[in-house]
Amino acid sequence: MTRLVVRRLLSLIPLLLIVTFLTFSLILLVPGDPAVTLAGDNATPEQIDATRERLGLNDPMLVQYGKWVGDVLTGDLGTSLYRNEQVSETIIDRLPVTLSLTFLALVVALVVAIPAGLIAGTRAGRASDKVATVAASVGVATPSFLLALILLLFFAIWNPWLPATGYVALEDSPWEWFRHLVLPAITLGTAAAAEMTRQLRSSLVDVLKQDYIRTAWSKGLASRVVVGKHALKNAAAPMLTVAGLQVTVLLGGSIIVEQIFGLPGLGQLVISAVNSRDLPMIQGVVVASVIIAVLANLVVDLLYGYLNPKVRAQ
Amino acid sequence: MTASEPTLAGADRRSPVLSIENLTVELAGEHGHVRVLDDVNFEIGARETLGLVGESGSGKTITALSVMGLLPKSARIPSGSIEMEGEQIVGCPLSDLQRLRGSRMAMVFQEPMTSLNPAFTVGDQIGETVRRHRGASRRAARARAVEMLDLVGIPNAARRVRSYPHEFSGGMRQRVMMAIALACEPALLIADEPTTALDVTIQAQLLDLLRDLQDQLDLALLFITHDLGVVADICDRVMVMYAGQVIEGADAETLFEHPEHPYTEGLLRAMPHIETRSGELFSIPGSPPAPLDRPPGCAFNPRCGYAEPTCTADAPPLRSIEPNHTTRCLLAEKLRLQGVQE
Ligand SMILES: Nc1ncnc2c1ncn2[C@@H]1O[C@H](COP(=O)(O)OP(=O)(O)OP(=O)(O)O)[C@@H](O)[C@H]1O
Ligand SMILES: [Mg+2]
Repeated sequence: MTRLVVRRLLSLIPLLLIVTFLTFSLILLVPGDPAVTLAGDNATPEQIDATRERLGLNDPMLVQYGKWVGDVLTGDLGTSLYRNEQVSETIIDRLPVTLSLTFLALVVALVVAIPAGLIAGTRAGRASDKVATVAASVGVATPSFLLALILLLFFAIWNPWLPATGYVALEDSPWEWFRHLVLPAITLGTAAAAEMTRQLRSSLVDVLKQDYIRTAWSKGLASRVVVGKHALKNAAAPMLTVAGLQVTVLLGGSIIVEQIFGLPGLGQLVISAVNSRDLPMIQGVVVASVIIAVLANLVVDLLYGYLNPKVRAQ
Repeated sequence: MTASEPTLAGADRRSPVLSIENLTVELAGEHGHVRVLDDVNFEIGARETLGLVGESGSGKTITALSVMGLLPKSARIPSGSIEMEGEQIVGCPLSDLQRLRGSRMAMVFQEPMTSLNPAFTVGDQIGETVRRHRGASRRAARARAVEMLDLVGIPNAARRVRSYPHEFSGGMRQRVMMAIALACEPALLIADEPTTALDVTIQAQLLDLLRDLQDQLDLALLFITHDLGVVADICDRVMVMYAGQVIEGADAETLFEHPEHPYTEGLLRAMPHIETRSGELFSIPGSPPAPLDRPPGCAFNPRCGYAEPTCTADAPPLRSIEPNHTTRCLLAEKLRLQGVQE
């Protein structure tokens, strides 16, 4: 197990290098020049040139990238081009918002998917299965902005039960933190819930046909034990894999959801950074996201070993 | 069943553990229901071993699953009765089945590699039955699991309870299956080709074990196989199945020495140590009919070397040809069929 953890953490290094290099090259390919903006509205071409020189934007791309990597290795993610803020500080500031949102969205997904998948999978072909399957298709297909609008209308505007926008830190007030995140988490988690329901249903249908389930019945176990213990533990493994993939999807989706609900997270940060071509900030967010995704998948793999003893042994 | 029924010879016999009468089973197929079991009758008493033999697809597993109440959902039982220690299984509520399964009747399956749950330790899978039926505590169930692993001859039982199925070989897994099946000391054990998937030496060990366990636990044993050699080894009585019907039944010795059905004769001739004069292994020509296109008359007639025109007329009933010897062959009295001497 320790070996798995070490291996995963080591694999972070090449992964980060590749992803940040790609981001770097892509940003430089996009037209637009931060020096023009930074130098001000009435700047002369000379002033713009000077700004560009100061920021090192005239260097060849590889040199610029090399410099950035060098700085990161000394623990410095750089400063924002515009805001005179340490990138690392800004990210640490914003990270809890995005993590809270992603985590709650995952909770929403699991809370919906486990019972729905169990019901659909054990009643395959019957009415409740069909309802769940259709609901899952709708859930996957609904765009998050539409869902957000509906939720806002029902729960924030027509019935002002929940705040429509804003964020309260967990340490300030857990209850307000929760209230502010309910609607965003549902918006973000719905597609994941639908995906995981489908996955759980199909693996459950498959598992219930296995010989060891027949053995479980032959022992006289109650239906609850046969399904809830013997089938679920086996069917949960493929669902967990999907959950791991969903973390990455949720991180991506949080960008839009943060915009809609006015949550000051990494998503908002990265959008404004991309708009202004604030390269150090973009790179910082990318690094943070990659690390989160890798750690989430590490957790998934550790859980997978618990569900599947055969994997654990290897 | 009233005492006045003359057909029941049960007066002087101990009441059977399992008794099946006129059992017919149909499975839903693409073209409606097909009959996979037709008018099956038998009884097994305590300490008795009944062998059920027949080619692949003859309905052996279906018979076993009917007893356990584990038939596929698409199955229906249009007629017949299955009594386990006097309790009717056909049409009984699931809760009754769940009480009997694992405690009074248990089954070891044909597929040792896939019949254990890969996600739980074998100790858990043995102990869970004890917890379910005897209300044992976790600790008591664990102790029973160790005891059972020991009983079925798995070395280092105390350590091995914590192993997962993938850490065992096929033969060892089948032993674990036996440990699960016998943990609550059932009255009836159904062993469905328990050794078919395993190699010969392991096979012999498992058969010895099964015999031992039967003695220790007074088991009624329904032993399913397509290997007559194994039957000779372990069974008191034998029933031969063909295309969903019992076509012959007798004491093992009688059946081997004086078969009264050409199909049984064919099976005996096909046994590996019986060679034809040319030295080649004999095999019955043709293959059994699919449940959907049974021939008219005797189901075996298209493959039978002795078939006469009468054989294609009416379906022959199972009849007594001698005391404790039944056959479905119309010509049994006429034919002098070859048995084997042991
Ligand atoms: N789940 C099922 N669905 C449909 N048909 C089935 C099913 N199980 C068995 N059958 C059919 O029922 C008949 C009897 O099958 P059964 O499994 O009892 O044979 P068997 O004697 O156990 O054979 P084998 O030696 O291969 O185990 C066969 O024709 C088979 O095709
Ligand atoms: Mg079978």
